[in-house]
Amino acid sequence: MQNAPLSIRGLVKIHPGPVCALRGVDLEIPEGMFGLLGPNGAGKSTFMNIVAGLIEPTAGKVLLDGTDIIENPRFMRERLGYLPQDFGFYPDLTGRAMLEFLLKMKGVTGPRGRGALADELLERVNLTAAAKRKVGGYSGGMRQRLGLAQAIAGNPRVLIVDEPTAGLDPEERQRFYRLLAEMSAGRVVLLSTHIVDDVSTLCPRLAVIRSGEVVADTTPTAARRAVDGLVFEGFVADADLPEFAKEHRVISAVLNEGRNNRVRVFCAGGRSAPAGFERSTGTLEDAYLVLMRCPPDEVPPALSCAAPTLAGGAA
Amino acid sequence: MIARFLAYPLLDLKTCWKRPLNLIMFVVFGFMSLGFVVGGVQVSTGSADTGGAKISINSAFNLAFADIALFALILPFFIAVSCGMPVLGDFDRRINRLVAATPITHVEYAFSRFFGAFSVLAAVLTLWMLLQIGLYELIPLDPAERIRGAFSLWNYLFPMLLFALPLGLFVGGISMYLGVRTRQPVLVFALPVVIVVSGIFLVWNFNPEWLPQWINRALQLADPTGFRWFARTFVSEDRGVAFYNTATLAPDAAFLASRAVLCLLGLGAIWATGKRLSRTEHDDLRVGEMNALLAEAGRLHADAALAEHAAIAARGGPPSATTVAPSFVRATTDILRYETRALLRSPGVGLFGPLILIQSWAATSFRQGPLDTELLMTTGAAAAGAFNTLTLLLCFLVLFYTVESLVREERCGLSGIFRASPVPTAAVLAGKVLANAAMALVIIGCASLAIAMVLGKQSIDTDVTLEFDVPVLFLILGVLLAPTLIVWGAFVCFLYALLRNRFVVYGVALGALIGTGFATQFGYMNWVTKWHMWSSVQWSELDRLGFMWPAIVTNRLLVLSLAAFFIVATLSLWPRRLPDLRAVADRMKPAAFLRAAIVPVLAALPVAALATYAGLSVRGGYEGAPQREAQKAYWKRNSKTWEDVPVPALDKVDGEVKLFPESRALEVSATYVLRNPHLGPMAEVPITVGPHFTTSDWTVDGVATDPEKKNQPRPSIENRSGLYVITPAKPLARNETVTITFKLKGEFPKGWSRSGSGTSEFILPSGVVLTSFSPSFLPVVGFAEGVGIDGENSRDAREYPLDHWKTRVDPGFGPAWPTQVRLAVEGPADWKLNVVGVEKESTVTDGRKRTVWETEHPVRFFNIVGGPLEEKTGEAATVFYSARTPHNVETMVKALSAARKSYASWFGPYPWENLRVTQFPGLAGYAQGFPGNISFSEGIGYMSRPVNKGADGYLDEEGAIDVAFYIVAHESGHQWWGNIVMPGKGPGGNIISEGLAEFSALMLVHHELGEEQAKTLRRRWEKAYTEGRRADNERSINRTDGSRPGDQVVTYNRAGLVFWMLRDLMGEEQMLAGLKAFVAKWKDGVATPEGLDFPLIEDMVESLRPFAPDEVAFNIFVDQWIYGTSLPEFELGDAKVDGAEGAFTTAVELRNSGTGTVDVTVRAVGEDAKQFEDTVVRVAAGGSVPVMVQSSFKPTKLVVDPEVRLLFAGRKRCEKSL
Repeated sequence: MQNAPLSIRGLVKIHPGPVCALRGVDLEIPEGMFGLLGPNGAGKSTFMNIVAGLIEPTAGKVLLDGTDIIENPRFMRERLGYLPQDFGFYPDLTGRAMLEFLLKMKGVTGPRGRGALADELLERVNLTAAAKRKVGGYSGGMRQRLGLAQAIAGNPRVLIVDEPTAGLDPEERQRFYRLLAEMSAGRVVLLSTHIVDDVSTLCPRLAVIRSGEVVADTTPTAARRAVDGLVFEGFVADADLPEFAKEHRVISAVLNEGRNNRVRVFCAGGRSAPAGFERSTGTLEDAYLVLMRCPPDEVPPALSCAAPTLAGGAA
Repeated sequence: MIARFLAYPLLDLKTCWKRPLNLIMFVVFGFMSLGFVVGGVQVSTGSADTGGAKISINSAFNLAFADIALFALILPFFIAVSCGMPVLGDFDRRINRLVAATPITHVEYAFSRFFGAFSVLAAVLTLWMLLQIGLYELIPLDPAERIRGAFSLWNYLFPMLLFALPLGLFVGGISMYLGVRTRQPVLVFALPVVIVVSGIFLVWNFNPEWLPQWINRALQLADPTGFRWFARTFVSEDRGVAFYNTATLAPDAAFLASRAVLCLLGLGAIWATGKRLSRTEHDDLRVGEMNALLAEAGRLHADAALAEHAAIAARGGPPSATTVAPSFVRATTDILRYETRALLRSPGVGLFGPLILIQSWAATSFRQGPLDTELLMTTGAAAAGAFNTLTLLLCFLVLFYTVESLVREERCGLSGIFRASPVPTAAVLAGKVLANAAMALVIIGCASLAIAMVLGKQSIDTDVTLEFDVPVLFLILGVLLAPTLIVWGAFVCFLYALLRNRFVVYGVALGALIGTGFATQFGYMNWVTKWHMWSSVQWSELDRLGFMWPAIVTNRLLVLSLAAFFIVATLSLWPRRLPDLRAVADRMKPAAFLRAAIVPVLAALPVAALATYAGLSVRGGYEGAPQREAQKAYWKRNSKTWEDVPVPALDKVDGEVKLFPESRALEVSATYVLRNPHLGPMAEVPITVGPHFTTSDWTVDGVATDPEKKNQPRPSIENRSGLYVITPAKPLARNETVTITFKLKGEFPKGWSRSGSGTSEFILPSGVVLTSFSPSFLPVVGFAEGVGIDGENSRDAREYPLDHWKTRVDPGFGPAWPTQVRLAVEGPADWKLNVVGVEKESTVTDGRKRTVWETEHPVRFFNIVGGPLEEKTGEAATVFYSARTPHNVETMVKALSAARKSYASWFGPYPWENLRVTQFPGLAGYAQGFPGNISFSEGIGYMSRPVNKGADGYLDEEGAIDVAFYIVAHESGHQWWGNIVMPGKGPGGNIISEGLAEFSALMLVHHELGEEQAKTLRRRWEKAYTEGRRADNERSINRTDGSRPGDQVVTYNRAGLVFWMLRDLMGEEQMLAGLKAFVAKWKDGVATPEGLDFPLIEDMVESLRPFAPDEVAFNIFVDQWIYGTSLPEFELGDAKVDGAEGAFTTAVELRNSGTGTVDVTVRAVGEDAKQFEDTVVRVAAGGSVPVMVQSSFKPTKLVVDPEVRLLFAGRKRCEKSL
């Protein structure tokens, strides 16, 4: 990965408090979709904000095509499409006017002019009908789509989307991701999410971040393989679950028809499967949950960050 | 419900100490109180004499005065921020939806939120009150200067309850409502801005004589600060220390009701806020016809459905596009366009535009000049007059609009996208700041429109059409005002970049404005620090800012360079990328810091260079520290030796004065013949030479001498810190003379002023005015009293014995013995340069004219005044005027001629050949009556507002007066009162000069313009006197010496009116005969063995007494009005009208709560104002009399003293509708 267009080296961020949000993150991010998985508070948004040039890191480098964008944030801004996790627009502008204003701010124009480009972008995100309505009256989904329209405008070299599907219905989410996937050719698309399925669907590569550290830098396939055969599934009554969890490495427990729990356990390091449990095919979510819930010595080496990067096909 | 209601107050009180704004408010209030106590800001009352009656600094009235000033000027802004912003903040933080989901109703929420903020304000004010108690009760005082009464907690609490509470509820409630109604934080500040700006420049002080009492009362009740009510009820007419120290501050019922209404309005606004929230959170905002609503809803639904359900189309990647990072100019333009559009659509423009329009119109229309006269407005004068208002208003608006503009992206949630875009930071800031300039342009446009309206109306009212001078308007409200707004905008951006909290920025910026206001008020500002140029734009049609132009330009450049520095600093601090603390610490390491500091330091270099240049120029100027030190040295070195030492007579002055207006330079060579007129020998003769001169070629009786050398043989001259002491060859015996010659070269005034644009004497390209009162162009004989005296070495005025007038009295000003003057004055060939005397010869060589003037009759004072002027000669007098100000010249010529003729007939012959009025640029607003050569500032007479004239020349308009005529009449009076009759030195002396000049002018107005205008004039004087007097300071006319506050209105207004009342008593013929006898006796002084004796008021009384038809009445009058300080104050009781058709009896009680026993007319006026009946009653001090007026008509109004023949207080309150 020496030639990865986006290279993160030793990124550290300590907030006043002090709170260590990033503890020396190293990542080589290739072109295409790259997923950043992690629970809330893991440091994903801090990471994204640093890469987007909105927060200065305490230490480390972020290189885009060999240019350190910490030293030269303008280099990144000129090549960046950014959709933050939480954002809004001038409520008194129409969708079209808002988009056109942002295109101006980004210096983006189309072959037939900026207005025509704005119309095309609105069409891409299906906001043509609402183009003349004030943004203040947009629903959450519409606002999100308008955000995407501004982010993808100008074919940015790097597209950063931070938790982009919050508030979208499942259908719209899928279409949103399709658009992202189609865009990913020839550029870096950095997707931050805590929804494992999203990464599984979209990203040929991903990194898992926990408490400010990258605990896995892998592919979905490799991650699945790493836990495959070590995950068992069965049912446990609700009342028995606490006791059960003391004896087994429970990685998920989902209430089943309100009566008992569908429980998945990870059996590594000589642990045996619980009685009545059946081996289950490992998923990316299993791998993610193992990374989140198991002590490092129980995490399969193939899954952890320290392991050699797994080459593998896309999901 | 109570628990819900208390939720926010408890939360806010618990967390208020964490909010910097509260701390800032406490600090600002604390510093202001400290400044008030230390700086002696208090009710203007009491005696100015050391140890005299003083107001207690902790009396109810003084504390109320200090508190109202603070509450009116500062509190509204803090209330608006504290009470107006929380709900908007909840919107920004999206808490409103969560709150809406709780059981609390929107009305409860609004009240809870409001009282949360209000309770914090109350807590801060309580803490401040404790600090205030400490300051007012404990700070050490010099008991001779200031006193303190017994502690009363109520004195501190009451102003809070009476003024702060209603103001807080009203401003807080309305601000909250406006914020919620418009969702625009800027509008939260609308009410404070309206209150403060309209208050300072209109509501609090606007009180012309013609203003009806009901408007005055309405303004008092409508002013939410209570300032006008307090000022007009208790302060504008001084009630004396005894009242202020002992009386209770008791609001009248109407005022209390107005406070209650304010409270209710505030509470109503909070309730309306809750209802508004209820509608916006739950209901459709739109209100209108049901069908329209349904149609709109249907359309919106269809759109939404289409948009929602179609979702994102999978149609390939993004459309092709090119990206070129936006340039600074392009991005600035785009941001400017958006911000401007948003700004101009905001209700603020619709609010502040009309506000400034009305304010500018009113302030310009009613602007008054010297002697409380109306002025003719020109574009320049109006723009300069509006400069301060606009500066203050626009600073407020720039602050609020800039901050809200800077936080807009943050509030909208657009900040992340915006900051990640490649738009240059500088462009973002520039676009936003320039957009605010558009707001400023709208405001300035409104002010300009107001000026155009005033000029238009003026041309209708006066038949004088003055050009709407766009270049002048552009110069003053554009070129001069713009740098102030730019630097202020840059400073606000800098503060935001540094502090990153809008509320802290508001607090600090308001603190900076308040600090600037204080520094300006107390004279700490100069051309280096005066970034706002307040009161430094003094417009003169003749000089057109020429006098201080270099200082003005430097100041503006300095301000712009400071703005550039702030911009650079802002860009380096701007939070485009949130900095990391450790990285910041790394950047503070010496090497990194130095590298980072290079650009700001480079940006600071022009500031430093210009500030240094300006500082040195101020220091080197005529008001600079070395000059002040030199003057002090003059006083220190010479006052003990030369004060009150008899001075020689200046028998003859023969000089050549060359004026070079372009360079302000003059060259003088002159001969003085000085004579000892006293019995004793005179060994040394002092003369004072101006510090701006370099001197040379001194001779004493033909012997050369060098004043800078010590211990020279006689005859000699020694320079003792500016006082040149001549030692003749031998002491001068009585009537022996010594002749000195000298040459002087200098620049006058030299260099820059300290901060102002005015000066009393000058040589400038626009005109020249130089007088022998000061050593501006020739040395003054003797030691100049008053030079070098400031707060540190000032002394109380000298107390003279009661029989001082019976002794020989020195002249009040200038020399006792008159002088023969021959002056050859050289200046530009196209100038008219007038000097006392008559013109003997005039030659023009090389573009310069030399004119020789000689006095045909000796004078005590002489002057040079002139410029590029025209002249108009009347029957017996000439007026010299600039072609730019010809409007009143006809009137002035007429007045001058009439004055010469009438005064000569009334008071005695006029001894000089010429009587001229010559104009000088209005850098000072005075006129001085030199013998035959009166100097007039352009603002006096020339730019007075003419009244409409009918076919007969003068048309009486009710309440109007031809002020140009009156002022010329007054100044012409000084030919007799001040020149022919030189008043004596001592109390009452100056009243012979000014009081009799006023009386003369009133007489001339009465005879030439009619009694209606004379009556108007008397009414104005009475108002000026009753509002300007200082009850505890006031002395009788014969004891007033001009040294104390309030003396001026006694000298001019009381004296003028009292002499008029004396004329009524004696009859005009007898009065004039008496004055003629007075002039005949005292002209040129009365010779005594000790020297010439000059008159005081008592001498005038003695001259008049023989002519009084009733000596007893005369003596009673004199004792009461001239030797006493009587001032009746009348109140009419409830009136009762009885009777039927054709026979009515009106009964009313007239009470005199003032002093003096007087006969006064009470008039009953019918429906038709021409129907009236008078009754005269005598009322003693403190007494009341029943008044019965019989009339054949049904009276509709009662008026006390309708013909304005008596001086008394409370005239407007003595008009009673029946």
